[in-house]
Amino acid sequence: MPTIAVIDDRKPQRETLCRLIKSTLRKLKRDDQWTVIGDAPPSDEEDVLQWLDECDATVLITDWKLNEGASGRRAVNYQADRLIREIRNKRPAFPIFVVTGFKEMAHPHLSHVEGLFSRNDFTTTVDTILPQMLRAGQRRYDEQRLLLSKLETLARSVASGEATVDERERLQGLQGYFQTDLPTIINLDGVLSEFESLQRRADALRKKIQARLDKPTRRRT
Amino acid sequence: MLTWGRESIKDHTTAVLELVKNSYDAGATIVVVGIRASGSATHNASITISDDGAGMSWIDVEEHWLRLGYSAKRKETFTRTGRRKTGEKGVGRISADRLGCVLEMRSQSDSQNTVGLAVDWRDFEHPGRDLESVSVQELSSSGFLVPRPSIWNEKQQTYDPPPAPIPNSSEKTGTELIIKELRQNWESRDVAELQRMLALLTSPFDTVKDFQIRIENDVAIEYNGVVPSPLWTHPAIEGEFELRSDGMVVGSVKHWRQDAGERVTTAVSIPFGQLVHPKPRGVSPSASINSVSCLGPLSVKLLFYPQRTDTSGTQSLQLSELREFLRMNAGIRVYRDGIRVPPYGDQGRPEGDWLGLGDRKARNPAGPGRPDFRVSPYQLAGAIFIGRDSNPELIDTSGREGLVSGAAFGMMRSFLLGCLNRLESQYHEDFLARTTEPEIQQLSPRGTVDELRIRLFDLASTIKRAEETLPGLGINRSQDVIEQLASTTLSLNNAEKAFEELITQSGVSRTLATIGIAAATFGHETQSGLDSVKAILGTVKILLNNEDPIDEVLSELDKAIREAEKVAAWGGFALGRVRRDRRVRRNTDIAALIEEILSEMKPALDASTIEIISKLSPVKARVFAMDIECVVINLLTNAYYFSMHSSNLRRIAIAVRSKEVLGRSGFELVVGDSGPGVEVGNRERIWNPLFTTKTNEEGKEVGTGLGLALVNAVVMDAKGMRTIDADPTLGGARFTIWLPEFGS
Repeated sequence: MPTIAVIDDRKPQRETLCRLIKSTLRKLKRDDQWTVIGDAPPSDEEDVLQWLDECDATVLITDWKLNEGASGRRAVNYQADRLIREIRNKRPAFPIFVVTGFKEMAHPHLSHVEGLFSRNDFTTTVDTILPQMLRAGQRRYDEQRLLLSKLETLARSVASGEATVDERERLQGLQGYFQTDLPTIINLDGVLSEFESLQRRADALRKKIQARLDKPTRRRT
Repeated sequence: MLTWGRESIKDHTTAVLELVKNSYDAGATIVVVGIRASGSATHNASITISDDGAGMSWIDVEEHWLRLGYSAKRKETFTRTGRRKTGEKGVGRISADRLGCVLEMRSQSDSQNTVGLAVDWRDFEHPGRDLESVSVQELSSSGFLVPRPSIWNEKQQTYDPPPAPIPNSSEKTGTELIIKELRQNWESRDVAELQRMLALLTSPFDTVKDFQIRIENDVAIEYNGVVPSPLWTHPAIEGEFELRSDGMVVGSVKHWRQDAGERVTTAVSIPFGQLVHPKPRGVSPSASINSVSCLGPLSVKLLFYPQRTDTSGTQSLQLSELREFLRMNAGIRVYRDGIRVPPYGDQGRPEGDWLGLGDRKARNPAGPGRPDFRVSPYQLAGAIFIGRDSNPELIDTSGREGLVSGAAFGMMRSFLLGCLNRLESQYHEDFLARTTEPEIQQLSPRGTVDELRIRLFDLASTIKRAEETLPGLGINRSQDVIEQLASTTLSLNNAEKAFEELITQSGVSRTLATIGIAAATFGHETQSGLDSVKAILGTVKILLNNEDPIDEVLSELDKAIREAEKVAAWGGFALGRVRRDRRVRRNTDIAALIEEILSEMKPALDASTIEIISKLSPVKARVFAMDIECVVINLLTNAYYFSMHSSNLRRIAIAVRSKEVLGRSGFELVVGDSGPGVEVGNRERIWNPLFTTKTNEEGKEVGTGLGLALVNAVVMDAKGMRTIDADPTLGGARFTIWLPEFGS
């Protein structure tokens, strides 16, 4: 099910935003089609993309000021600008919205997000904004489903040993995109080849033994 | 494409510069710019650019030079002699088109064949014409003469006449471009401007020694010869600074020392965070805004010419000569790998004063006798040296000029301003050492009143003694004097009351200014808090409308109350500062006053995870509460700002205790922080109004420069003392204020 992921290092604000979105989804009768994830975000930047993929997120709403405290007292170790840049590098079309109490300060730094709102603005116009987010997220979701379907088809093809070189390359590309580790699929092809080779040898040996058994023995007189 | 390229080059002198840069990138040691345009119509005139660089083979020309947008410099970034190549856009050849319609190119590389071709750029301009059908003519005669560098004559202190050029060969490589059918006339002023720009093309501070440019023209022959570097006569003060990758700024300042009677060199070694204070933002352990990792190592050279006749110890020019010299050469330029990045430092252009020195001086026109002295843009020359490889985040704009504004550019600008502050501080010290006039002590308003009261008392006592000594003599006359004195005393009493009222108003103004400064520093937290309150209440309304569970509604209401309390605390903080009872001198519990301020500032400090360590001994003193608040709030606001620079330890320590100094009872207040500290050269300057070391993300000076000036005003008024040093525990700055108790 497609998901809206909320990142904010402050739990009360994260909670408020999640409640607001869930309530509005119910009002729009879309709560059976979308979920909202407001768990504590990964503390390391490197884990965020995987976290988004794992919870099937197709929309991200994030605060701007994320790690303002002294070290040892921060919930996360990344800034929002940097996080957004990283996501954009790997997922250029991922819908990202920023909801923050520092909208004016954030504005010069955020030219590449789908929307930037103050908390109050977001709350008062949530009935309008949320459907836009859902549309953007649904597009993203459909694209992801298509890619996953392709991934599955290619993986099956490689596993069966029928994949062309081009198909293998495309599978590796998708593997990188999803950051999915599929070495077993690639190696399975090798295992199958080896199995077939062993099978042929076993077959040949069997024939040899059979031939030997069928050969009449000479009796000594 | 050609039209785009032609229009992307500002003017014909810029086009020549681009071609000279190509020669530089070809590893040339000499490039000769020849202009034959005197008295000729443009179609007879020509420009020749010839050099002794590596030259090109036919393959180089066909596959690289003729392909627009291609640049071998993107692949091979260094010449054979180890020079970092400059142009990477691959459109330098467009410059030839910018200058004239026809180009003849002859080039000799170390291969056997010479290249000779002619291009008429007008052939590319026919609409609808297929580019592949445009032919490039091969020249039948591809021999040319390769120039040789002029030799410097030490005896004559000038260059010898240029040696004769020699024919090209595989041992003598080079390139000659002859551009004909010029698109513009060349006047004397164009040649003058060309010479000026060529003089500044390579760093004038001798970082590029093996590249000579020579002009040979018939338009303004006075500019013929080797293009000279500007002669940097001894400035009043000269600074060289290097920012290392470990964040240390090292270097030296050469200046005149009165006591030594000679120019001396003072070493500099300061952490970057002490030299300049860019605006702190959210920091992560791996990329603190204060680290110089985004900038990379670089160096700066600054020369200050005060344009005064008393430039002691300098081999100064005549003032008029100096002014003319600075008119041509003042400005801070940017050199990358030894080649200038325009337009920084160009006089008469907005980007010329890219550090905002003019505005900076206009805001604070103090002379060198004041610690907050600022230089004017026309008094300063210098350069900052960067590299494509050492400073990869300082990148070109898509046009022909300038660097992209970003975090690294802002940091570079901040660094320059920090170096300049250091130079100004040194010049001020030297100026004071040279000046023999005694410093006039300026009395504060309160001091003036006290002084007047003492003199009046003395006068009255003298008259009374005279009366007692000479009874009956001149009693009528002394009676007149006493009556006059009584009248004067009444006037003075009225004046004193007016003074007192002014002092009170001044105190209120200081308080209001303090609130303003605190609001500017903490205001964004309040604004965010208000936004949160509105958002939460909006959410409550939506939850109720949507009939969500009541416990969720109550939970959100609790949050709204907490956020509203934070906002209200700030409002209470501001209103409490201007209460009437604060404007009266009374016996005040200083520790309780400080605790009240700390509790009101706590939400803002907590939001930034700043820890307060307080050690408040019971102290009672007869003071104006608002004066004490002014001192405490401004010191805490200052400490808050600089603690934010620290990514690891964010702490502020505040302590107060009774202390007697020279028989006067009073109390000592100490505020320390975990920020970068105050550089020694600035420890007196920071008490002055409008002085600031804070810069924003674009590297421009920000901040009012008033907070510590207000503290200083209170201390001076009260005849107290103030010092700054390094906090031994927290590592940042430590401010120690001693204030006497009133009447002590």
